[in-house]
Amino acid sequence: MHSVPDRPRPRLASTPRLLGAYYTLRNRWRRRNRGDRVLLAGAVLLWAAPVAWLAGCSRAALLDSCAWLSAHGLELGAAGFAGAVVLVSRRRSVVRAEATRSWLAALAVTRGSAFLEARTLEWAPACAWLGMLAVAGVSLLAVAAGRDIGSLHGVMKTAGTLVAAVVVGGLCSYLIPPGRDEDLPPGSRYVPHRRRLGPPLPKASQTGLAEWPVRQLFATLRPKVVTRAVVPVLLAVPLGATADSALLMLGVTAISAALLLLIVSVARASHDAARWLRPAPVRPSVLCRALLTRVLVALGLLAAAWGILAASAGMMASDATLGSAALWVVCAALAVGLTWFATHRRVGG
Amino acid sequence: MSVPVLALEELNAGYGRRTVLSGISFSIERGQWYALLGPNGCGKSTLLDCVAGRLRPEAGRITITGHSLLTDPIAAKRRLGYGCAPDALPGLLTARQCLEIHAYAKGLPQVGAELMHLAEELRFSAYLESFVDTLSLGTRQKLAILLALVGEPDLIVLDEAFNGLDPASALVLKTHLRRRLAQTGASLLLATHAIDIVEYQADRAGLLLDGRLRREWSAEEIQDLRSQPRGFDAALAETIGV
Repeated sequence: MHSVPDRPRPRLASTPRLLGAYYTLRNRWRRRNRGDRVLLAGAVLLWAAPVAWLAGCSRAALLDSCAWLSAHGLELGAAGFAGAVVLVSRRRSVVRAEATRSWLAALAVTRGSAFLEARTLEWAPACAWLGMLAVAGVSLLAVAAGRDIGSLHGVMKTAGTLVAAVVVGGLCSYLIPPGRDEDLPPGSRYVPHRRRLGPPLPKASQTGLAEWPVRQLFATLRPKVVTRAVVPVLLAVPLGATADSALLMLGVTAISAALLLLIVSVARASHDAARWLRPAPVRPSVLCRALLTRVLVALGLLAAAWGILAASAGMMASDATLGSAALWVVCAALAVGLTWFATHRRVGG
Repeated sequence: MSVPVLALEELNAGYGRRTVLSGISFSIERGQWYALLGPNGCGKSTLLDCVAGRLRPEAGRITITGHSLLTDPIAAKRRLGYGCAPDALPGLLTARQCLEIHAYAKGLPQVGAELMHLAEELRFSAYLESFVDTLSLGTRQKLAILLALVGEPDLIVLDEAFNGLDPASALVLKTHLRRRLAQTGASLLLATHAIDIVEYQADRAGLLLDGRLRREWSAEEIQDLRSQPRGFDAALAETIGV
């Protein structure tokens, strides 16, 4: 049994879950667990190996590394954004599910403290990422300081993009709706079950219509279909091609396929929705607008991703922007046209 | 004289060159339960499709509470509640979303508490968050019926709505429909093969044979048949010529 101090840390006193996590970590460390030591040693090695390599490599190689980092800021930012979205949203659902089962669940906590606790626990993985990025950045600066490699402006810009992407990704993860109460575990023996007074009344909404085409897209994208589509693309990559070019080819194919499938999905969803809602007093233009709201946003995101890929493939930034805008306009026009046709081709009034 | 809730005049309809319905004329007054009978393929569903605006008739007029379905479809459809076939429901939406969309289409702020009470009675509430394509046939049927009842429609059109329902749910639904018709003055057009519904529930009935309305039974005739043992079976056999 390890000792616990009599006076808990004053700053964590009002947040029992954070305090509990702090004590757990501290006790684990004090226990001198061999596994933890190995993990720490591994992390130090992971940091030290590239730093040692950078310190020992030639100036040209260091310049190459800096140039690569400068050139791939956008891709690294996109990866950081996606990673942060997944990490924070996943962590949020885990924290939410564990909250009712926690041995601390019955403690009275102020609203402000509960908010602080939840946000801290949710952001912990993203903060860890940011910490690692900071360590990597500082290490690179320390190595570069001893060598004459000129301005590190490009690398700093990439680091800034990456940090901003992680922060924005974490914030954007809150746009992902949380799990429903029905999905949560039924509570603990410490906390009485909340009595449900029946389901809330369904409020008038067109959200379902807006989500329909996107769901249709994901319904089409079954794992087997995706696998069958990816294998020929991978086989089409010429021998001797770099990983960059293979990934680029895969990315372009994936985005093109997603754009095509989204347009097909919106046409199919419009047809089905118009058929289903024929007896309802809804005007075709209203139906059309409801079906297209999210599709146009999704098309915009895909076109933007295409632009990023084109820029990373060496296209001028202005050309890539213009190209993605043109792609969005063409796809949007196609989606609007197909939806308009499907919803206005209604018979019997 | 009050405007009938549904009036059909010399209705002809079909698919392509094939005429399915010819010369159909009848009307339904407020508060009436009209049962439409007929063998498979006689045109019951086609008639219901015409009334719901899903199929444009070749000739004739359809009015719902005085609003023509062909010239003033939005006003006519505001008074209509149509229970589609269970397999026509959108599989990628949840049951709640289906109800929300119907409430939105009818210009309501939300689905009424009475309807949710019926959902509770039909033991449907547990499936509100489920995707339609994960529901069983009977549960989909319940959803189709609930959608037809959104917004207190003047005319409820149901196609073989009791198919797939368990006996308890069917009883709950019959009781609810009877009460709704009496309280709100709504009318019900139900295509069915179940003779017991005509015997015990319907106010009027019509027999469709080969696309024509061969026989109609008025409220008085049905009352009369109810007083006789196997009265309706005999009347039906006489009409069909069995």
